[in-house]
Parts: sequence; structure tokens; C-alpha cells
Amino acid sequence: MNFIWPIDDQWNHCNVRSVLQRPDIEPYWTELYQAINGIQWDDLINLHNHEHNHRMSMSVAISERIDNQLTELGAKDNVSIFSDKLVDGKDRYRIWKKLGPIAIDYAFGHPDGLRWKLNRLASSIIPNRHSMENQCQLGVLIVATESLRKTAKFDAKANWETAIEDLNIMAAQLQAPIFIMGLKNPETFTMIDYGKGKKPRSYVKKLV
Amino acid sequence: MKLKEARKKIASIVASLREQNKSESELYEKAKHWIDVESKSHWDKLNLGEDVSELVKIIGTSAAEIVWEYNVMK
Repeated sequence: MNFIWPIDDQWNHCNVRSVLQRPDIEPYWTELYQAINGIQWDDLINLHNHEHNHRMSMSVAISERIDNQLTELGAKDNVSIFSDKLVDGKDRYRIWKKLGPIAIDYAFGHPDGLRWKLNRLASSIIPNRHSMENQCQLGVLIVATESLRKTAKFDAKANWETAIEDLNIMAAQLQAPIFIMGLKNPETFTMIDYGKGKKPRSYVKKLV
Repeated sequence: MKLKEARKKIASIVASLREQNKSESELYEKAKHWIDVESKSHWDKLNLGEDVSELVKIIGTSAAEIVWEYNVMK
């Protein structure tokens, strides 16, 4: 699975390009990008067609595969950012995956969720009045490019293009290095949606 | 063991063994092989429309054995 690279000046948020090269970050970053690059589209297609074909889109197959890859690397699951108890008693500030100093999340849903996740990643890096249980140095948000979003039939509109624009709009608020990992469309498959209530709901067909 | 659950569990065992510097152990090799090969071994047959229910059971049992071995080793 490939992602948009290298980082362009337009989205080099908080100089994330140089942060990725820092000695405390680089070994983890290398593991992360190798893990993502190592995901085969054939596996994702099989995973969807044989285990998730009751769903309209490939989003669950993709997130499940990334989850397993990161778990294999030793990334910690669903960790609290703060050690303080928050007012509602719930731990709503959590990191989906923490790989060393890198906070990782994905946004394949609604754009509002994408903005919340950007904020949450920044909160895991920027100190505030709450004591930090798991402070990170870098945030990575995994999103689909618009081309992949359409082909893999994600119905919600969050995509790489929106994430980059939001990051630029909220640049003054999100003063933390965040890398938006835009998953590319391999252009090797097409997806058939048989419609609501149909079994299977969808099928991913490889293009010859 | 269901495959979705097994994939996650075996991935965490691989990570744990690596953290303990046991990435040359037989169990590590077994777990990696399960993730990279065994857990996907029914897909080709499924693509040909064959019944894989027995094969899926065998794959699940193999995962359970790896988990058991890991727990005994701890």
C-alpha cells in the first residue's frame, strides 16, 4: 500500500519533514512506513471479499489490516493521553495506536471525525494543564486520498485533500508536527456494490 | 479460534517475542509463518468457490496452539 510522498512544502506542517528524520523518531517512522508499504492489496481484496463482504466499503478491511500490522510492530492500543481523570469521567482523549513516540490514528469516516482526530493527535503532543501519561512527539493520521475513497466506496467524505486543507486552516491551533498519510489508489481493482440488504453487499474485482 | 481474533492475538505475540529478543525462537517463526502464510492459505480455494470450512477450523486450531505455547512459555 503506497501513500503520498514526499512531503510537499504546502503540507509540511510544523516542519514534520525534519521531525521524521530526528534520531528519536526515525527508527519508529521507518518501521511504520515499511509496515504500511508492506500491506498487499491482494490481501486486502481477499480480506474484504471473504470476511467483510457484508459491508459496502473496504474501510474495515483496510483498518483491520493496518491495525494488525501495527500490533505486530509492538504498537500499543488505545492508550490514554492524560493521567488526570477528566470531568465526564470518561477517557475520551485516547490514542488509537502509539508506536514509540508516534501517535497514530486513521480517519475513514465523517470529516468532523477527521478534525477531532487531528485535534486529539495534537493534544497528545502539546503539553497543557493536564499531566500527560503518554506524551508523543509526532502525530500520523492515516486517510484515503479522494481517488481511493471513491474506488473503495467509503461513503463518508473524509479524505487526504480535506485533511491537508483542515491542517492548513487550523495551523495556528494545531502547533504540533502531524503527518497526513494519504493512501493512494493502486488502480488495480474496482468495487461492485450490490445494494443495501443484499448478500453479499459488495465485491472487489481485480482489474487485469 | 476465530480468524479475526487470531490475527490480532498472533500479531501481539510476535511483537512480544521480539521485545523479549526471542525473534529467533521456534515459536516466533511459527507465529510469523501463521500470519504471513497459514492465515491466508484458504483464500485461493475460496476464490475458486471451494468449501473451506474444515481448512478454516485447522487454521484456527493452529493459531490456538501458538497462543497456548506462548502462554505456557511465559
